[in-house]
Amino acid sequence: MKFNDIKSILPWIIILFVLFPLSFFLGVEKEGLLNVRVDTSDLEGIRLWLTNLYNDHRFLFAVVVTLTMATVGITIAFLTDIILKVLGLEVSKIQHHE
Amino acid sequence: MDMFNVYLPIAQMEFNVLLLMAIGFCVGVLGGFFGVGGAWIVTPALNIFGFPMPLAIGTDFAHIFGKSIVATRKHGKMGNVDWKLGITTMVGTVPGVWIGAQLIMYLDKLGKQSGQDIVGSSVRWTYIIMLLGLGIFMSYDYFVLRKKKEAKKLQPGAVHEKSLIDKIRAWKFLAISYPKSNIESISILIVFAVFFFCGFISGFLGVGGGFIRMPSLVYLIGVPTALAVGTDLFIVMLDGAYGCFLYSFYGRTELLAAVFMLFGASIGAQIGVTAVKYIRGYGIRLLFAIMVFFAGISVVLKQMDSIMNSPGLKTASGWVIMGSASVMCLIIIIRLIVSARKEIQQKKAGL
Repeated sequence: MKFNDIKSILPWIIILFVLFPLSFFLGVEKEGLLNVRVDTSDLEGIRLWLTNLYNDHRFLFAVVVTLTMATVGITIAFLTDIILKVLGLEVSKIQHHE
Repeated sequence: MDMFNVYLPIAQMEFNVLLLMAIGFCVGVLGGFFGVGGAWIVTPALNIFGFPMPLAIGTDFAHIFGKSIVATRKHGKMGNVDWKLGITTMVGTVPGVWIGAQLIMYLDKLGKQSGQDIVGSSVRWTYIIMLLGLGIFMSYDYFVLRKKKEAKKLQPGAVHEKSLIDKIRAWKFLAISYPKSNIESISILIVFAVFFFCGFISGFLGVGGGFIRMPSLVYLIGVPTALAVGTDLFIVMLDGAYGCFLYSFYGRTELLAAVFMLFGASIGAQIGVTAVKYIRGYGIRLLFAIMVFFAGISVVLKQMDSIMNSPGLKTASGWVIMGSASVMCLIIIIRLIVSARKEIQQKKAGL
Protein backbone atom coordinates (compact mmCIF):
# COMPACT_ATOMS: atom_id res chain seq x y z
CA MET A 1 0.00 0.00 0.00
CA LYS A 2 1.45 3.40 -1.00
CA PHE A 3 2.01 6.11 1.60
CA ASN A 4 -0.53 8.41 -0.09
CA ASP A 5 -3.21 5.71 0.17
CA ILE A 6 -2.44 5.23 3.87
CA LYS A 7 -2.48 9.04 4.42
CA SER A 8 -6.00 9.30 3.00
CA ILE A 9 -7.45 6.69 5.35
CA LEU A 10 -5.39 7.69 8.39
CA PRO A 11 -8.15 9.91 9.93
CA TRP A 12 -10.58 6.93 9.67
CA ILE A 13 -8.06 4.63 11.40
CA ILE A 14 -7.38 7.16 14.18
CA ILE A 15 -11.08 7.77 14.79
CA LEU A 16 -12.28 4.15 14.63
CA PHE A 17 -9.44 2.37 16.41
CA VAL A 18 -8.06 5.01 18.73
CA LEU A 19 -10.45 7.87 19.49
CA PHE A 20 -13.74 5.98 19.77
CA PRO A 21 -12.48 3.19 22.07
CA LEU A 22 -10.41 5.71 24.08
CA SER A 23 -13.33 8.09 24.48
CA PHE A 24 -15.61 5.20 25.45
CA PHE A 25 -13.32 4.03 28.24
CA LEU A 26 -12.54 7.59 29.33
CA GLY A 27 -16.22 8.55 29.10
CA VAL A 28 -17.59 5.78 31.29
CA GLU A 29 -18.00 7.11 34.83
CA LYS A 30 -19.50 5.08 37.63
CA GLU A 31 -21.90 7.95 38.45
CA GLY A 32 -23.39 7.64 34.93
CA LEU A 33 -24.35 3.97 35.28
CA LEU A 34 -28.01 3.43 36.10
CA ASN A 35 -28.01 0.52 38.55
CA VAL A 36 -31.60 -0.62 38.10
CA ARG A 37 -32.94 -4.16 37.69
CA VAL A 38 -36.10 -4.25 35.64
CA ASP A 39 -38.85 -6.62 36.78
CA THR A 40 -39.33 -9.27 34.05
CA SER A 41 -42.14 -11.31 35.63
CA ASP A 42 -44.87 -10.00 33.27
CA LEU A 43 -42.76 -9.90 30.11
CA GLU A 44 -42.47 -12.39 27.29
CA GLY A 45 -40.97 -12.75 23.83
CA ILE A 46 -38.61 -10.10 22.54
CA ARG A 47 -39.38 -7.71 25.44
CA LEU A 48 -38.24 -10.42 27.91
CA TRP A 49 -35.08 -11.13 25.92
CA LEU A 50 -34.20 -7.43 25.67
CA THR A 51 -34.86 -6.75 29.36
CA ASN A 52 -32.75 -9.80 30.39
CA LEU A 53 -29.95 -8.40 28.28
CA TYR A 54 -30.40 -5.01 29.98
CA ASN A 55 -30.33 -6.56 33.45
CA ASP A 56 -27.48 -9.02 32.99
CA HIS A 57 -25.37 -8.15 29.93
CA ARG A 58 -25.23 -4.35 29.65
CA PHE A 59 -22.43 -4.31 27.06
CA LEU A 60 -24.39 -6.65 24.75
CA PHE A 61 -27.51 -4.55 25.36
CA ALA A 62 -25.58 -1.47 24.15
CA VAL A 63 -24.40 -3.38 21.05
CA VAL A 64 -27.96 -4.56 20.27
CA VAL A 65 -29.42 -1.04 20.68
CA THR A 66 -26.75 0.58 18.47
CA LEU A 67 -27.03 -2.08 15.76
CA THR A 68 -30.85 -1.95 15.86
CA MET A 69 -30.99 1.83 15.46
CA ALA A 70 -28.40 1.68 12.66
CA THR A 71 -30.30 -1.09 10.85
CA VAL A 72 -33.68 0.61 11.20
CA GLY A 73 -32.18 3.94 10.09
CA ILE A 74 -30.46 2.46 7.03
CA THR A 75 -33.57 0.45 6.09
CA ILE A 76 -35.83 3.50 6.30
CA ALA A 77 -33.30 5.55 4.30
CA PHE A 78 -33.23 3.00 1.47
CA LEU A 79 -36.98 2.38 1.50
CA THR A 80 -37.61 6.13 1.33
CA ASP A 81 -35.28 6.40 -1.67
CA ILE A 82 -37.24 3.67 -3.45
CA ILE A 83 -40.63 5.21 -2.63
CA LEU A 84 -39.55 8.69 -3.70
CA LYS A 85 -38.08 7.28 -6.94
CA VAL A 86 -41.37 5.50 -7.73
CA LEU A 87 -43.30 8.73 -7.05
CA GLY A 88 -40.91 10.73 -9.24
CA LEU A 89 -39.77 12.86 -6.31
CA GLU A 90 -36.09 11.92 -6.32
CA VAL A 91 -33.75 14.71 -5.20
CA SER A 92 -30.67 15.72 -7.11
CA LYS A 93 -27.64 17.90 -6.35
CA ILE A 94 -28.56 21.50 -5.51
CA GLN A 95 -26.85 24.83 -6.10
CA HIS A 96 -25.67 26.47 -2.91
CA HIS A 97 -27.01 30.03 -2.67
CA GLU A 98 -26.45 32.25 0.34
CA MET B 1 -56.18 7.28 22.46
CA ASP B 2 -55.42 4.48 24.96
CA MET B 3 -55.30 1.95 22.13
CA PHE B 4 -52.15 3.71 20.97
CA ASN B 5 -50.45 3.11 24.32
CA VAL B 6 -47.59 0.64 24.24
CA TYR B 7 -45.77 -0.93 27.21
CA LEU B 8 -42.11 0.15 27.37
CA PRO B 9 -40.25 -2.68 29.18
CA ILE B 10 -37.14 -0.77 30.33
CA ALA B 11 -39.14 2.31 31.41
CA GLN B 12 -41.73 -0.04 32.98
CA MET B 13 -44.64 2.14 31.89
CA GLU B 14 -47.15 2.63 29.10
CA PHE B 15 -46.60 5.51 26.70
CA ASN B 16 -48.56 6.84 23.74
CA VAL B 17 -46.96 5.76 20.48
CA LEU B 18 -48.48 8.66 18.50
CA LEU B 19 -46.91 11.14 20.92
CA LEU B 20 -43.51 9.52 20.48
CA MET B 21 -43.89 9.64 16.69
CA ALA B 22 -45.10 13.27 16.83
CA ILE B 23 -42.08 14.35 18.92
CA GLY B 24 -39.83 12.42 16.53
CA PHE B 25 -41.55 14.03 13.51
CA CYS B 26 -41.05 17.58 14.86
CA VAL B 27 -37.40 16.95 15.69
CA GLY B 28 -36.93 15.23 12.33
CA VAL B 29 -38.15 18.30 10.43
CA LEU B 30 -35.98 20.68 12.46
CA GLY B 31 -32.99 18.33 12.41
CA GLY B 32 -33.16 17.77 8.67
CA PHE B 33 -33.53 21.51 8.04
CA PHE B 34 -31.03 22.94 10.55
CA GLY B 35 -28.58 20.03 10.76
CA VAL B 36 -29.02 19.58 14.51
CA GLY B 37 -29.78 16.49 16.59
CA GLY B 38 -32.57 18.13 18.57
CA ALA B 39 -31.81 16.87 22.09
CA TRP B 40 -32.64 20.36 23.41
CA ILE B 41 -36.20 19.86 22.16
CA VAL B 42 -36.70 16.15 22.83
CA THR B 43 -35.68 16.12 26.50
CA PRO B 44 -38.12 18.88 27.63
CA ALA B 45 -40.84 17.39 25.40
CA LEU B 46 -40.45 13.94 26.97
CA ASN B 47 -40.33 15.61 30.41
CA ILE B 48 -43.63 17.42 29.80
CA PHE B 49 -45.38 14.20 28.81
CA GLY B 50 -44.15 12.15 31.77
CA PHE B 51 -41.37 10.04 30.23
CA PRO B 52 -38.90 8.93 32.95
CA MET B 53 -36.01 11.44 32.88
CA PRO B 54 -33.15 9.00 33.65
CA LEU B 55 -33.97 7.28 30.35
CA ALA B 56 -34.62 10.42 28.27
CA ILE B 57 -31.08 11.30 27.20
CA GLY B 58 -30.08 7.78 26.11
CA THR B 59 -33.38 7.24 24.28
CA ASP B 60 -32.87 10.60 22.58
CA PHE B 61 -29.32 9.75 21.47
CA ALA B 62 -30.51 6.40 20.10
CA HIS B 63 -33.26 8.03 18.01
CA ILE B 64 -30.92 10.87 16.90
CA PHE B 65 -28.42 8.29 15.63
CA GLY B 66 -31.06 6.52 13.52
CA LYS B 67 -32.62 9.76 12.29
CA SER B 68 -29.32 11.30 11.27
CA ILE B 69 -28.54 8.25 9.07
CA VAL B 70 -31.77 8.96 7.13
CA ALA B 71 -31.16 12.71 6.92
CA THR B 72 -27.44 12.43 6.08
CA ARG B 73 -28.17 10.05 3.20
CA LYS B 74 -30.65 12.49 1.71
CA HIS B 75 -28.36 15.49 2.21
CA GLY B 76 -25.57 13.43 0.65
CA LYS B 77 -27.67 12.90 -2.48
CA MET B 78 -28.26 16.65 -2.67
CA GLY B 79 -24.52 17.27 -2.49
CA ASN B 80 -24.77 18.86 0.95
CA VAL B 81 -22.22 16.73 2.84
CA ASP B 82 -18.49 17.42 2.93
CA TRP B 83 -17.42 13.94 4.11
CA LYS B 84 -13.74 14.86 4.48
CA LEU B 85 -14.56 17.90 6.65
CA GLY B 86 -16.99 15.88 8.75
CA ILE B 87 -14.41 13.19 9.51
CA THR B 88 -11.56 15.59 10.32
CA THR B 89 -13.69 17.59 12.78
CA MET B 90 -13.86 14.47 14.97
CA VAL B 91 -10.13 14.80 15.76
CA GLY B 92 -10.93 18.05 17.60
CA THR B 93 -14.41 17.21 18.86
CA VAL B 94 -13.65 13.98 20.75
CA PRO B 95 -10.96 15.41 23.09
CA GLY B 96 -13.11 18.55 23.52
CA VAL B 97 -16.10 16.49 24.63
CA TRP B 98 -13.93 14.57 27.10
CA ILE B 99 -12.49 17.77 28.64
CA GLY B 100 -16.00 19.31 28.87
CA ALA B 101 -17.35 16.21 30.60
CA GLN B 102 -14.36 16.15 33.01
CA LEU B 103 -15.08 19.78 33.95
CA ILE B 104 -18.72 18.91 34.66
CA MET B 105 -17.66 16.04 36.92
CA TYR B 106 -15.21 18.35 38.73
CA LEU B 107 -17.94 20.99 39.24
CA ASP B 108 -20.28 18.22 40.41
CA LYS B 109 -17.73 17.17 43.09
CA LEU B 110 -17.36 20.82 44.16
CA GLY B 111 -21.14 21.14 44.32
CA LYS B 112 -21.54 18.01 46.48
CA GLN B 113 -18.86 19.30 48.87
CA SER B 114 -20.46 22.74 49.19
CA GLY B 115 -24.10 21.60 49.05
CA GLN B 116 -24.85 23.92 46.09
CA ASP B 117 -26.14 23.12 42.58
CA ILE B 118 -22.98 24.40 40.84
CA VAL B 119 -23.40 22.11 37.82
CA GLY B 120 -27.05 22.97 37.16
CA SER B 121 -26.44 26.70 37.45
CA SER B 122 -23.21 26.68 35.36
CA VAL B 123 -24.84 24.64 32.61
CA ARG B 124 -27.92 26.87 32.48
CA TRP B 125 -25.91 30.12 32.39
CA THR B 126 -23.66 28.71 29.65
CA TYR B 127 -26.76 27.71 27.68
CA ILE B 128 -28.33 31.15 28.13
CA ILE B 129 -25.20 33.01 27.00
CA MET B 130 -24.59 30.69 24.03
CA LEU B 131 -28.19 30.45 22.79
CA LEU B 132 -29.20 34.10 23.24
CA GLY B 133 -25.80 35.31 22.01
CA LEU B 134 -25.99 33.11 18.93
CA GLY B 135 -29.61 34.08 18.22
CA ILE B 136 -28.83 37.80 18.50
CA PHE B 137 -25.64 37.55 16.41
CA MET B 138 -27.26 35.54 13.61
CA SER B 139 -30.24 37.93 13.49
CA TYR B 140 -27.83 40.89 13.35
CA ASP B 141 -25.96 39.10 10.56
CA TYR B 142 -29.17 38.68 8.58
CA PHE B 143 -30.68 42.13 9.10
CA VAL B 144 -27.54 44.33 9.19
CA LEU B 145 -24.29 42.70 8.02
CA ARG B 146 -25.79 40.96 5.00
CA LYS B 147 -27.28 44.25 3.69
CA LYS B 148 -23.95 46.05 4.26
CA LYS B 149 -22.13 43.33 2.28
CA GLU B 150 -24.64 43.55 -0.59
CA ALA B 151 -24.48 47.36 -0.63
CA LYS B 152 -20.67 47.29 -0.77
CA LYS B 153 -20.72 44.84 -3.70
CA LEU B 154 -22.87 47.30 -5.69
CA GLN B 155 -20.49 50.24 -5.14
CA PRO B 156 -18.35 50.91 -8.24
CA GLY B 157 -14.63 50.39 -7.61
CA ALA B 158 -15.28 48.96 -4.16
CA VAL B 159 -12.22 47.39 -2.54
CA HIS B 160 -12.91 43.90 -1.23
CA GLU B 161 -12.28 44.01 2.54
CA LYS B 162 -10.94 40.88 4.18
CA SER B 163 -13.70 39.11 6.12
CA LEU B 164 -13.09 37.15 9.33
CA ILE B 165 -13.07 33.93 7.29
CA ASP B 166 -10.44 35.34 4.90
CA LYS B 167 -8.26 36.27 7.89
CA ILE B 168 -8.73 32.80 9.44
CA ARG B 169 -7.85 31.09 6.15
CA ALA B 170 -4.78 33.32 5.64
CA TRP B 171 -2.90 31.19 8.18
CA LYS B 172 -1.35 28.40 6.09
CA PHE B 173 0.46 26.35 8.75
CA LEU B 174 -0.34 22.61 8.19
CA ALA B 175 -2.91 23.62 5.58
CA ILE B 176 -5.62 21.28 4.36
CA SER B 177 -8.16 21.78 1.57
CA TYR B 178 -11.87 20.99 1.48
CA PRO B 179 -12.78 21.28 -2.23
CA LYS B 180 -16.43 20.30 -1.65
CA SER B 181 -16.88 23.34 0.59
CA ASN B 182 -14.85 25.59 -1.78
CA ILE B 183 -12.10 25.89 0.83
CA GLU B 184 -8.78 25.95 -1.00
CA SER B 185 -6.68 26.10 2.10
CA ILE B 186 -7.18 26.31 5.88
CA SER B 187 -4.88 25.34 8.71
CA ILE B 188 -5.83 21.99 10.27
CA LEU B 189 -5.03 23.59 13.65
CA ILE B 190 -7.86 26.10 13.08
CA VAL B 191 -10.23 23.23 12.31
CA PHE B 192 -8.98 21.42 15.41
CA ALA B 193 -9.39 24.52 17.64
CA VAL B 194 -12.90 25.38 16.39
CA PHE B 195 -14.19 21.84 16.84
CA PHE B 196 -12.35 21.30 20.10
CA PHE B 197 -14.36 24.28 21.38
CA CYS B 198 -17.61 22.84 19.93
CA GLY B 199 -16.81 19.46 21.51
CA PHE B 200 -16.01 21.14 24.84
CA ILE B 201 -19.38 22.96 24.86
CA SER B 202 -21.16 19.77 23.85
CA GLY B 203 -19.45 17.71 26.59
CA PHE B 204 -20.04 20.46 29.17
CA LEU B 205 -23.74 20.89 28.32
CA GLY B 206 -24.32 17.16 27.76
CA VAL B 207 -25.78 17.62 24.28
CA GLY B 208 -24.87 16.78 20.69
CA GLY B 209 -23.75 20.35 20.01
CA GLY B 210 -25.28 20.80 16.56
CA PHE B 211 -26.62 24.22 17.55
CA ILE B 212 -23.06 25.54 18.00
CA ARG B 213 -21.35 23.42 15.35
CA MET B 214 -23.54 24.44 12.39
CA PRO B 215 -22.93 28.20 12.94
CA SER B 216 -19.22 27.44 13.52
CA LEU B 217 -19.02 25.74 10.13
CA VAL B 218 -20.69 28.79 8.53
CA TYR B 219 -19.05 31.71 10.36
CA LEU B 220 -15.59 30.38 11.31
CA ILE B 221 -14.77 27.84 8.59
CA GLY B 222 -16.76 29.54 5.80
CA VAL B 223 -18.84 26.58 4.62
CA PRO B 224 -22.00 27.45 2.58
CA THR B 225 -25.07 27.15 4.84
CA ALA B 226 -26.78 24.20 3.13
CA LEU B 227 -23.47 22.31 3.08
CA ALA B 228 -22.95 23.16 6.77
CA VAL B 229 -26.39 21.67 7.54
CA GLY B 230 -25.64 18.39 5.76
CA THR B 231 -22.06 18.10 7.06
CA ASP B 232 -23.24 18.80 10.60
CA LEU B 233 -25.83 16.03 10.31
CA PHE B 234 -23.04 13.66 9.28
CA ILE B 235 -21.11 14.65 12.41
CA VAL B 236 -24.32 14.25 14.48
CA MET B 237 -24.57 10.72 13.05
CA LEU B 238 -21.04 9.86 14.22
CA ASP B 239 -21.61 11.51 17.63
CA GLY B 240 -25.00 9.81 17.83
CA ALA B 241 -23.47 6.36 17.31
CA TYR B 242 -21.05 7.00 20.15
CA GLY B 243 -23.73 8.55 22.41
CA CYS B 244 -26.20 5.73 21.65
CA PHE B 245 -23.66 3.07 22.63
CA LEU B 246 -22.37 4.90 25.70
CA TYR B 247 -25.79 5.75 27.18
CA SER B 248 -27.16 2.28 26.39
CA PHE B 249 -24.21 0.88 28.33
CA TYR B 250 -25.19 3.24 31.17
CA GLY B 251 -28.68 1.68 31.00
CA ARG B 252 -30.30 4.96 30.00
CA THR B 253 -32.00 3.89 26.73
CA GLU B 254 -35.56 2.68 26.17
CA LEU B 255 -35.12 0.99 22.79
CA LEU B 256 -38.80 0.64 21.92
CA ALA B 257 -39.47 4.35 22.50
CA ALA B 258 -36.42 5.24 20.39
CA VAL B 259 -37.66 3.09 17.48
CA PHE B 260 -41.11 4.72 17.50
CA MET B 261 -39.56 8.20 17.63
CA LEU B 262 -37.31 7.19 14.73
CA PHE B 263 -40.32 6.33 12.54
CA GLY B 264 -41.73 9.82 13.11
CA ALA B 265 -38.31 11.44 12.74
CA SER B 266 -37.62 9.69 9.43
CA ILE B 267 -40.75 11.20 7.88
CA GLY B 268 -39.95 14.61 9.38
CA ALA B 269 -36.36 14.47 8.17
CA GLN B 270 -37.49 13.93 4.57
CA ILE B 271 -39.52 17.14 4.82
CA GLY B 272 -36.79 19.13 6.59
CA VAL B 273 -34.04 18.07 4.20
CA THR B 274 -36.16 18.75 1.10
CA ALA B 275 -37.04 22.23 2.43
CA VAL B 276 -33.31 23.14 2.34
CA LYS B 277 -33.52 22.96 -1.44
CA TYR B 278 -36.05 25.81 -1.55
CA ILE B 279 -34.76 28.24 1.08
CA ARG B 280 -31.60 30.26 0.57
CA GLY B 281 -28.71 30.10 3.03
CA TYR B 282 -29.49 33.37 4.80
CA GLY B 283 -33.12 32.30 5.20
CA ILE B 284 -31.99 29.12 6.96
CA ARG B 285 -29.72 31.20 9.21
CA LEU B 286 -32.55 33.58 10.18
CA LEU B 287 -34.93 30.74 11.08
CA PHE B 288 -32.10 29.08 13.03
CA ALA B 289 -31.49 32.35 14.91
CA ILE B 290 -35.18 32.56 15.90
CA MET B 291 -35.17 28.92 17.04
CA VAL B 292 -32.08 29.21 19.26
CA PHE B 293 -33.36 32.51 20.67
CA PHE B 294 -36.55 30.83 21.91
CA ALA B 295 -34.47 27.92 23.22
CA GLY B 296 -32.48 30.52 25.20
CA ILE B 297 -35.72 32.01 26.60
CA SER B 298 -36.76 28.52 27.68
CA VAL B 299 -33.50 28.09 29.62
CA VAL B 300 -33.94 31.56 31.19
CA LEU B 301 -37.31 30.38 32.56
CA LYS B 302 -35.66 27.22 33.92
CA GLN B 303 -32.94 29.30 35.60
CA MET B 304 -35.61 31.56 37.13
CA ASP B 305 -37.35 28.40 38.39
CA SER B 306 -34.13 27.22 40.07
CA ILE B 307 -33.85 30.59 41.87
CA MET B 308 -37.54 31.18 42.69
CA ASN B 309 -38.61 27.51 43.05
CA SER B 310 -41.79 27.97 41.05
CA PRO B 311 -43.00 24.78 39.25
CA GLY B 312 -45.04 26.97 36.89
CA LEU B 313 -41.84 28.42 35.43
CA LYS B 314 -40.42 24.96 34.75
CA THR B 315 -43.61 23.95 32.93
CA ALA B 316 -43.60 27.24 31.01
CA SER B 317 -40.01 26.56 29.98
CA GLY B 318 -40.98 23.17 28.52
CA TRP B 319 -43.96 24.66 26.69
CA VAL B 320 -41.88 27.53 25.24
CA ILE B 321 -39.45 25.12 23.62
CA MET B 322 -42.16 22.72 22.45
CA GLY B 323 -44.33 25.56 21.19
CA SER B 324 -41.55 27.31 19.30
CA ALA B 325 -40.35 23.99 17.83
CA SER B 326 -43.89 23.16 16.63
CA VAL B 327 -44.39 26.64 15.10
CA MET B 328 -40.99 26.47 13.39
CA CYS B 329 -41.91 23.04 12.02
CA LEU B 330 -45.10 24.49 10.58
CA ILE B 331 -43.21 27.41 8.99
CA ILE B 332 -40.78 25.01 7.32
CA ILE B 333 -43.60 22.76 6.03
CA ILE B 334 -45.59 25.73 4.68
CA ARG B 335 -42.50 27.19 2.96
CA LEU B 336 -41.80 23.79 1.42
CA ILE B 337 -45.36 23.41 0.10
CA VAL B 338 -45.47 26.96 -1.30
CA SER B 339 -42.05 26.68 -2.97
CA ALA B 340 -42.71 23.19 -4.34
CA ARG B 341 -46.03 24.31 -5.86
CA LYS B 342 -44.29 27.31 -7.45
CA GLU B 343 -41.65 25.00 -8.91
CA ILE B 344 -44.30 22.66 -10.32
CA GLN B 345 -46.21 25.60 -11.87
CA GLN B 346 -43.01 26.93 -13.42
CA LYS B 347 -42.21 23.49 -14.87
CA LYS B 348 -45.73 23.26 -16.33
CA ALA B 349 -45.34 26.76 -17.83
CA GLY B 350 -42.16 25.49 -19.45
CA LEU B 351 -39.78 27.87 -17.56
